[in-house]
Amino acid sequence: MSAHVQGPDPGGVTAPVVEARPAAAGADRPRVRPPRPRKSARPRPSFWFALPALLLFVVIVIAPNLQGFAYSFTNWDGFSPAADLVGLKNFSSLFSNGNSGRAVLNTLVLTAVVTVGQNVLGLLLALGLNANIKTKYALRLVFFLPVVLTPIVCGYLWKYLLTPEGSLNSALSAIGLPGLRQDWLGNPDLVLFSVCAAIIWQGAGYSMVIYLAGLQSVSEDVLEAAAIDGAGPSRRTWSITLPLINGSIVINLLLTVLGNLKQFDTVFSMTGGGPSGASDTMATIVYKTAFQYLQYPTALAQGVILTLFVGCVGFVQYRLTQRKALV
Amino acid sequence: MNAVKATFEKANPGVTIQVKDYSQNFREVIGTQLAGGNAPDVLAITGGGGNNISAKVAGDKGYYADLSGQSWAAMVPATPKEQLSNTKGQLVAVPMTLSSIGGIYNQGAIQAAGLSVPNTWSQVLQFCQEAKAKGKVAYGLGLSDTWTTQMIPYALTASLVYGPDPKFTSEQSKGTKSFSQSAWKTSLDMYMQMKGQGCFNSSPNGTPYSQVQDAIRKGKTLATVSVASETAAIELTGPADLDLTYAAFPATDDASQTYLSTSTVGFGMNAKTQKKALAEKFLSWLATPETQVAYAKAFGDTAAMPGDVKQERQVSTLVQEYVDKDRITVWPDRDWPTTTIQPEVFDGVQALFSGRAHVGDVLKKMDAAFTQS
Amino acid sequence: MKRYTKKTAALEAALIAAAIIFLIPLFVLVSVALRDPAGSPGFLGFTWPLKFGNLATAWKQSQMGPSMLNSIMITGISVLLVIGIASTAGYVIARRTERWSRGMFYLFLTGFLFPGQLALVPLYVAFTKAGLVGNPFSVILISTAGNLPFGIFLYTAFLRDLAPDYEEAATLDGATPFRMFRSIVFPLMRPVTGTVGILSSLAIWNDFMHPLLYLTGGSTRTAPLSVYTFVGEYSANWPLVFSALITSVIPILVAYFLMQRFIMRGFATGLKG
Repeated sequence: MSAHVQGPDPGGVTAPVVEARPAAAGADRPRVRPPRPRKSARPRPSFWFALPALLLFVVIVIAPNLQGFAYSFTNWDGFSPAADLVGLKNFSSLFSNGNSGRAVLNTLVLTAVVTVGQNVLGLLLALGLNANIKTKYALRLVFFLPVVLTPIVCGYLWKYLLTPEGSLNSALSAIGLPGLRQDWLGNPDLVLFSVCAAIIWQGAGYSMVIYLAGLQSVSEDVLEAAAIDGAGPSRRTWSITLPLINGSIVINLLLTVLGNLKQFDTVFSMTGGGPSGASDTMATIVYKTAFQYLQYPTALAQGVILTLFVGCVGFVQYRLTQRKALV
Repeated sequence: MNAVKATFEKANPGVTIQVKDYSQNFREVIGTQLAGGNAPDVLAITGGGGNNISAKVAGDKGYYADLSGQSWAAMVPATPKEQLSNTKGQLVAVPMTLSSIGGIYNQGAIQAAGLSVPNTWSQVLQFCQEAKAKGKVAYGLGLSDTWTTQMIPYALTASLVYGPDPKFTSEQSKGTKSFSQSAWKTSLDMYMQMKGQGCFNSSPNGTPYSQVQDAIRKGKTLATVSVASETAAIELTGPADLDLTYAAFPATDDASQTYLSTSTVGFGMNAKTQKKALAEKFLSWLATPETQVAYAKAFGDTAAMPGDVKQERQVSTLVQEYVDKDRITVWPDRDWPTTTIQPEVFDGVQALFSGRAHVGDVLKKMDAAFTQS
Repeated sequence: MKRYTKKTAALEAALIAAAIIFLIPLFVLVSVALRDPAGSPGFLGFTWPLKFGNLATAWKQSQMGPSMLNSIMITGISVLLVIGIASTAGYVIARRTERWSRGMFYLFLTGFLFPGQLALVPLYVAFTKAGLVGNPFSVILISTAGNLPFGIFLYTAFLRDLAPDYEEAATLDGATPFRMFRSIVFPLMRPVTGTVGILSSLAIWNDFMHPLLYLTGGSTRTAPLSVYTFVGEYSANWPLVFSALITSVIPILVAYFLMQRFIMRGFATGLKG
């Protein structure tokens, strides 16, 4: 079965090719475009169709976030209904706390490393698996396998692999490289990158699949024509393939950047943010402040900062790429 | 809890007890539920203050029912009573176990190495040296699980700070004493001395505590400093002939000056419970010596109110000895005024072990967190 | 390009090597799970005979059976709701060109930005007032709402690229809006529905924080929650812990192997730039 619909192709094809479907109402009629002005027949679904989504979203997502935002200017303790306005006190106490600043930096580093690592790896795998190799279906299966693991499971597993006497260090000794043994999760300089490795391992397959989807729309003819014109493989990839799968790149970047700015599960199950906050992210700091230090107002202020942060990055990214691919 | 609930259900037909185990997230979940008014009828309460479900924090907010009038209340010993009462003096829980921090030794392994359990600080350092010479780790440290960072400091400060000076924390609140200007400094210096003498495994910061447990079972590591109930946890999947000895961890060269750092956990009643009579009946039953001992045994710990029922575990014998000698202190965090001091201990110890901080820096941060309140 | 050359063979060999490296962590997961707890075969070895009994023990002691049913129920209902609600909303947003339609689209997109922690406590208090805590329905509502933005985003993007020819024809035939959606638009969106279904299933099945807070007690635990509790209780016993990790992901692995063709194709058509 072929795909029902083609996306916006680089050639500017916007009219989709649609298979005739017998289920369609009036499908027995001859398929002739009615000679009426297009405007009058344009489907105008009623607003009510969107109401369930809107209601649910506003009640469950928007309202509690606004409430949290409002409470961030009060001394609400998370328990009692009473709360007094305290202005920006919660925000100012944030900046006196060294861990918050560190968490911001960690989050940026983690997001950058994972975004680059996961996308480069995912793209390379996709390019490789798009070639005419025999085991491509089996290999796709393998690379996608970590994606279906629960993040906590992934975190526990990698924690086990990276302990001082863990699999990785044992393996390094076994292959005659004991000098490379490290305290992967205990060394403050390394721990963040160890966490990144686990996240990339789990996410590369996800990116790969999105890139593979994009690569399917790259026509062989164009590449062959370029090959005949004398373009080498890397030049073909760089100047033809990559621009053609721009949409996949944009989606992948959006998902990895926004997802990792909010990164919590893997960090929390692998290191809990330690040692001494060396792998704390903004999301783990908010959690700890709220539920371990019980400073709800400060946690809410941190949550507001995190939301604004993610919001700005997301908005900028969206504006930069929107015209090219998304809408 | 599951170990004893069947007995109560059998004695009270028609009653079923649903045990809810939140594991590591107990405080977060119960704290949120208390706020929401839908917490369980009977719940575990930690002594003192320092966290959101403790007797003096949630208790002061009126979340727990006053149990002072219950028939068993008169039998509660003084230390647990003080710990499990709110600041108005209302008793809010039945004390169940008296937890403590001490050294847990693999008896077979230390005998095979020709060593014995140290009773003084000098013996501890000697124990480390001799263990190292035999190719063994003396004390396992799994600081990757942050709660273990505080074990040795708490054990040492029991004998150096809180035992000799029971009013230390209240004087700290008045501003007359501080962590930096106290034997806390000595204690952390001693911790670092142990590190320097090779008492611990390499890379403690990256080691999960479960690997320490494993190494003790296998005799590769001879001991660790942890809570008493860990003896049961280590035995659980250890070899059948595993013999663990529990001992107070010394901080001076006079064994009679060693104090045991303890803490009480109990069960209290949700003030908003719909089943008050039944919950009270259940709590009274929990207070009976038989239930207490059965519960403590399942936990590998010491019963808080054993009455005349004999406790067989070596742990319980030792703890009872220190209770009788009146040489017990309370975990310092139970009386700390803010929740941010303990995280400073966690972060500080990890930073000490990664060489990112000096003892003085850590204590300064702890003092800052203390005075923040 | 279609030929299988020496270069292709080299590429294939490199990819297979990469796949083996990728599989090592999973190999460790399985080998540790099937170990004798008393044995110490090194970090990459098995103990013989393999202890498949560990899996059964972990399954039983972590009460994975009932948790699994709960997870399946919660995930199933939530995903159906996400598909139903997101597709209709996406339809409206894609087909209406007024300003409110655009505004609504951006409103839903803000859902990508909230980190979750900000709303955690206010939401819990609200659900408590509604008497829904402890009821799986609470997790279903939260999961559905949380996965709406991505669903709506995919449906909208897909429909915007789809010219409304069929709908125009049906409008002229006098089909009611609902009937038109059900019998024309929804079937046309099948590829996106597959993608939305798969992605939200994964996200909801793996969600951990909300079940932890809302689903109290043993009878309504979800699979990840059971894993977490079990790891807390048995942290000492790696073979049992890893067995529990494996049993908790078995259904999703089975589903993945059975439907992998479909999953890949769903991705291909649903997520195409």
